[in-house]
Amino acid sequence: MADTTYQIYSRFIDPMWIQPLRPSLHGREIAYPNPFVVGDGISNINTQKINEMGPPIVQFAENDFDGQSKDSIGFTPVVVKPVKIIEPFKIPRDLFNAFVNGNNIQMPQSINLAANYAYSAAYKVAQMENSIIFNGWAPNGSDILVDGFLSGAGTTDTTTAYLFGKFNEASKCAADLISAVNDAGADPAAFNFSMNPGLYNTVNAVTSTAGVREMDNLVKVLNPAAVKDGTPMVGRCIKDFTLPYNSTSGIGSVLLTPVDPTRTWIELYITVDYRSLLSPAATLPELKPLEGAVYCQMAPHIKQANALAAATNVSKAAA
Amino acid sequence: MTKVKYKVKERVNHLIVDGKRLGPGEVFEQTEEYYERNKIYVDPVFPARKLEEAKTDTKEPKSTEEEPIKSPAEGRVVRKGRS
Repeated sequence: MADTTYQIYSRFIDPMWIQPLRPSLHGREIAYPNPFVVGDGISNINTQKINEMGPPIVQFAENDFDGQSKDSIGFTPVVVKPVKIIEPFKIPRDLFNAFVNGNNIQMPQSINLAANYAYSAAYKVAQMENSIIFNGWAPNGSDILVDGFLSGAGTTDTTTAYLFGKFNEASKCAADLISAVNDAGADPAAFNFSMNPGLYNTVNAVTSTAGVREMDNLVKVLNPAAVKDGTPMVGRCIKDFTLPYNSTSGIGSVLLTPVDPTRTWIELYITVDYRSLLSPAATLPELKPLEGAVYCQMAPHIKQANALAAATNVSKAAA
Repeated sequence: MTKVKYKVKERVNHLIVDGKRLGPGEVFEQTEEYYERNKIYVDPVFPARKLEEAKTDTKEPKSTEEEPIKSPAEGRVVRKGRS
């Protein structure tokens, strides 16, 4: 079906708001998208969870191993259902007309009104996307329908109290979670540590009596391979509003995820990336508001949960 | 502080509670405040007595010929077959 003028116009305004939106996509900082699963209309992704092989055979060179049992990778089928996140809006027609040059919609005069509407809507979509990547999607607040990295973490410490206002507590928390990941059999070279701004800003302000910044320490803890052999420090602290935090009690959750560009442990399915739509009313279009929407379709995917860890009793209070 | 029983949800991998590593379906006790922070990982386990009450509530009442029926309009107790 041929695109309408408004669909072409939507593609024209997309670069105006998508690039400014990128810094808000914190969820995409901790996981990489799978480039092979892309397209409109994907509602189920059938994938496999890989269970690793057993220990190898050790023997002297001259023996053959025909008599020994052969191993294989075990597969557990998993269905990942991507969700569409949509923010619809309406643009008053007279305002829209005022912002374009004599109704020539290809030549905006100054500020592009539609792009501003789209950016504002997209920011809300981005927040929901971040929330789904970090927390998962639970329409009733407790029963998860789509697992996020926090809800699907391999190990979650729910009781150990960490007081991030005190020096060395955030580093200790990260080190404990890395130990939990190592105990579960995963050993990533670097980690990202995601926090709500309430906790992040607390850690950022903590300094020891000797003048050592907590944040510097924490980043070193997150990069064990870099500290060991001098490779670049790629693991870092991520700040996002959607991570759990109660501003009254000052208690929240933190999430440790592997830096995983090869998508060994975690990945994202971005089946439809950010896109805007504009549409005139079906009858009397010159007199009725334009309808628009911004949407994307995505799902986080945990391939091996043992590389993820979380803590839910993290407080900003000092001891 | 009141302690409440919780059960680890089936889809959760592992929880660390007071230093113990718990898997799906395991039951433990924690404070009431614990639930707010961890409701995506655990479900509260109701006391056995409350579960029994809930079961009884769902049963259909036995109907007999002479069973009194309460009039919805006036709240009077009337009997079947009488005006």
